[in-house]
Amino acid sequence: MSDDQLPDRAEQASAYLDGELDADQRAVVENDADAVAMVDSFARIRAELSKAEPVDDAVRSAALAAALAEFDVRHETADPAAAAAVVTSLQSRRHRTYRVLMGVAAATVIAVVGVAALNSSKGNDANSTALVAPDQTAEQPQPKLAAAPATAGANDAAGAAPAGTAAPGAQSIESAAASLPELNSKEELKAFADSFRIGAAAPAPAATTAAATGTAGATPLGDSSFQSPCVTPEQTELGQVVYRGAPAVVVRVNSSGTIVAIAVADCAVLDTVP
Amino acid sequence: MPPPERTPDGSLAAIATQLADHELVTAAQGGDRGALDQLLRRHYDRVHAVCRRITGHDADAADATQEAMIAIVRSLDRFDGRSSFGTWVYRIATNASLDELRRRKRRAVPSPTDDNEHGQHERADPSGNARMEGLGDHLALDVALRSLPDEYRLPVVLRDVADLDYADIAAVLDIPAGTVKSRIARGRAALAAALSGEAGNQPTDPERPSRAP
Repeated sequence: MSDDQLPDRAEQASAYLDGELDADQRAVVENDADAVAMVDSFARIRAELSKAEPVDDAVRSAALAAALAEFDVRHETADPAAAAAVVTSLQSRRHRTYRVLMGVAAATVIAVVGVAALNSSKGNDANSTALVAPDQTAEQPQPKLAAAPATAGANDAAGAAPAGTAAPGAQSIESAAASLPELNSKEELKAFADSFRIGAAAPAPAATTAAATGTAGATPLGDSSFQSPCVTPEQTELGQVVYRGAPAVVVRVNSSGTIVAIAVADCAVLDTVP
Repeated sequence: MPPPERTPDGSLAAIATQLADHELVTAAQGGDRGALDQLLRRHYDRVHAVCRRITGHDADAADATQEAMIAIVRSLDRFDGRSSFGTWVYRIATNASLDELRRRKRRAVPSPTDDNEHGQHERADPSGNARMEGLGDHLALDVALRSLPDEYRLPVVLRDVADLDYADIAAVLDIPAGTVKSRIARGRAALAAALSGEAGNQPTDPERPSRAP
């Protein structure tokens, strides 16, 4: 067989290894020393490729827990949209930090404009309320779960607050996020959950979203009274952290005890610890 | 439903109940959490192996595998049994791995060690696990596999890691079986060429597998 035929030889050798040749074709390969050598070479590659890579038990458990959590949500939640909000694709993970930063930037800009407008009007006129209200929304990125109370609460707070109150509300996003514990691994997530359970702060009840959201404008991240709309009644909120760069709420799933880090930006599951 | 047993070497083996995949699928589609758990455990390691070989990266493989597990749950109701469950799972795993590779490319940040494959491996496995054992073969194969274009790497991995036949690979990749055959051959030949010249040689252009030994 000439060099020009080598691609065909490789194909025959490969198909021979895979048992895809008939008897006549196998005989051709077996009578070609170069083809036989090629089969041996391919067989060694196959053997090497098929060697199982060790799988970390914790990684496996976390993946299975995430998948089963998705199952639980789908079977316990009548509203598929709500289910999707609790456990979302990893595809959004990589963009969360960007979105959070954009949200903080937007909130800061709105707050600055709001302060300027309020200062220029020197009072609680309608414009100042309108400008402050979006700031509350930016700080509370998932208003749909409690839209009416959130809007009413935010507007009430904005309307009653003096001009200087709005800017600290927006700045608190950055300052509060900066003061949150930073976790970067499952181990740290677990340690956080364990220490929280042992520590002084009691887990806050999770089903008071509406009331909490009503005061969200005055309650920054990191405040133990803050209730994330990402937390469902089946979960107990343990606290807020920055998990792998993204502001997150850490919860314990009541039924399984699984610890879950949920992004506050979009309620996506960042990680789980069985 | 009882959990699957572990063999002495630690690998999971769904021998406790010996239910076929399609039985577990039917039960899981009906809301049986235990059946789903067993089904996912049964396929996890093989899915991880496929993701690991496609992504060439431990952390990406872990993410891709988790994404695949979640995708399986989300799509299970739409699985109609026309293909085997395994084939369907590998299609999901392949897509999850490719998605992960695309994300990796988008977030890639050049660094002084980027032209050093050892450096890449160090970053790929910061825990240091498995780095000391069989480093040469392990690393050489990873490097050679990473050098293959997707069109060759995917069928080789699905054949040699997932043990799918040509027809199943054709179904997973949506290409004709004849194309699967030629791409596997070219991929293997390119890998053989790369590994035979691993002492500093660049992997052979997969379009020219004729230089294989």
